[in-house]
Amino acid sequence: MIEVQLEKMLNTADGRQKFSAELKLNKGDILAVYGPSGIGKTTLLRMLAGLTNADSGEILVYDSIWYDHKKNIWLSPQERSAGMVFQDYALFPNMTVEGNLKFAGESDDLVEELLNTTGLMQLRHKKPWQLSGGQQQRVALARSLAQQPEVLLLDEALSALDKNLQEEMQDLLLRLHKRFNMTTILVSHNLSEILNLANKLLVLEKGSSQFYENPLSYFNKTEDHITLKGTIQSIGFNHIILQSGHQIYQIPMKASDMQELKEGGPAEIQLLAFKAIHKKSIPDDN
Amino acid sequence: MYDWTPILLSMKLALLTTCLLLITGIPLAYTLYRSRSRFKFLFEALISLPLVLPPTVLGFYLLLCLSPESPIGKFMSEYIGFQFAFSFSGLVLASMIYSLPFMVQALQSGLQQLPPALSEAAMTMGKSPWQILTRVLLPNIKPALLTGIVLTFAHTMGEFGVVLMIGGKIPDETLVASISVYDKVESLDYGAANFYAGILLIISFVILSITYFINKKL
Repeated sequence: MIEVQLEKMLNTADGRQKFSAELKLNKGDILAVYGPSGIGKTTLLRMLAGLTNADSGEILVYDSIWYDHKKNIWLSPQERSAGMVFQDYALFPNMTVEGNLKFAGESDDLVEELLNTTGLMQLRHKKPWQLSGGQQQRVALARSLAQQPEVLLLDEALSALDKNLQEEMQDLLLRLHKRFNMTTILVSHNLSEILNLANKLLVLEKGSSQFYENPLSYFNKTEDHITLKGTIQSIGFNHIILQSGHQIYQIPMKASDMQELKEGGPAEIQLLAFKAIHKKSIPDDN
Repeated sequence: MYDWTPILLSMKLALLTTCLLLITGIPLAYTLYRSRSRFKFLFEALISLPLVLPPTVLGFYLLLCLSPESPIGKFMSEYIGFQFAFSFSGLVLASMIYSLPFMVQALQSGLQQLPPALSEAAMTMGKSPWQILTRVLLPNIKPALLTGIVLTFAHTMGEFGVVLMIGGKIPDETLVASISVYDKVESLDYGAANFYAGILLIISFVILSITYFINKKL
């Protein structure tokens, strides 16, 4: 069981603002942290990793106390078992792909396995600057797994990638998450990413937080859902392409919800996780 | 034929100063880089003092501090057997203080230009500050290291005021090339002055050219 309760005064662009978050996770959970920018999503991850101090609260990870304000306990990042994938990856420029992984973890066998699973075998002797964004991302993910952390922290790590790569990475992340039996906390503003990956949701608001045992229960609250009728053009592993009139929509969907759908067949899809961002543009899954 | 000893002495002094400053400057720059102390600016100002102080002022106070009559100088000569004033070891110490900002500032700015996430990532991997310094930070600031080394070396080769104040001009001990130029001009031996001045000019130019050339490749 992971129990977190944290408070901190943040200095934001809009002045000083209270940050507060509370969550409870079981081993194997994937928690998505969602909220407007500047609300403290990254700060939460940094406090969990021990890179930023909290004002008060506690962090309990399984049997060990990482932070307890009352008992004056604060473990350094070195003493915590948290792997972090930074927004800009933070790969070590002086080391090769393999070097980055080996620096993080001691087990050579695990490094070999990770290079294999993440498709980095061919690139193992390359330096980070020789890689594309998607490849760097895979190195960062593999590197954080090489240290076999109890908690994996992902800071909008997938957001910089194009849509196809994002889906590929989501798939990879799910497989690795299961394989290493970790608990993962990911910051994301991408609804399809949250619905595809997470089984728990933490929504950060000004000065408070709301924890959901099921991400859908938050997004379902939105009353402005829309219904699309049309023909299914294709079915992907986590989305479908629907043609409605002259419009084409890509709709994120869980595999379990797709079972009754057929390519070329008619469909009536209710978009529950719909969040209108811009009136003029075609709804995107972002 | 001119006497090469002052040139060799200058080079020996510059080489020793650079090596010692590299050993002391790296931890110092790293400490300043990591420090969140409110009083950090005071240390930074202290280290940068030699940049703005007249070398004679620095030399004067060093002379006072290190002379056999002063408490520090007395302690040094009685217990460690080091005589700093008017000796080569005194010159090395004075040069280290005089060139300190060139080494520390170069390294500190190199470190500050690296993304903080590099250190932080290594911290979450359980790496100690020493491992982070040697395996992550230093290998990624090679141009700053080179700049620090070269500026320290060249600056020490060319120092004059501090050396004159603290070392005098004892041949084979403290009479370095830059002092020799002054010495020869004073005794109207322009040929010898030209010899020492010319060699200093060539050495400085060659060192800087090599640095800029290498820095382009790093």
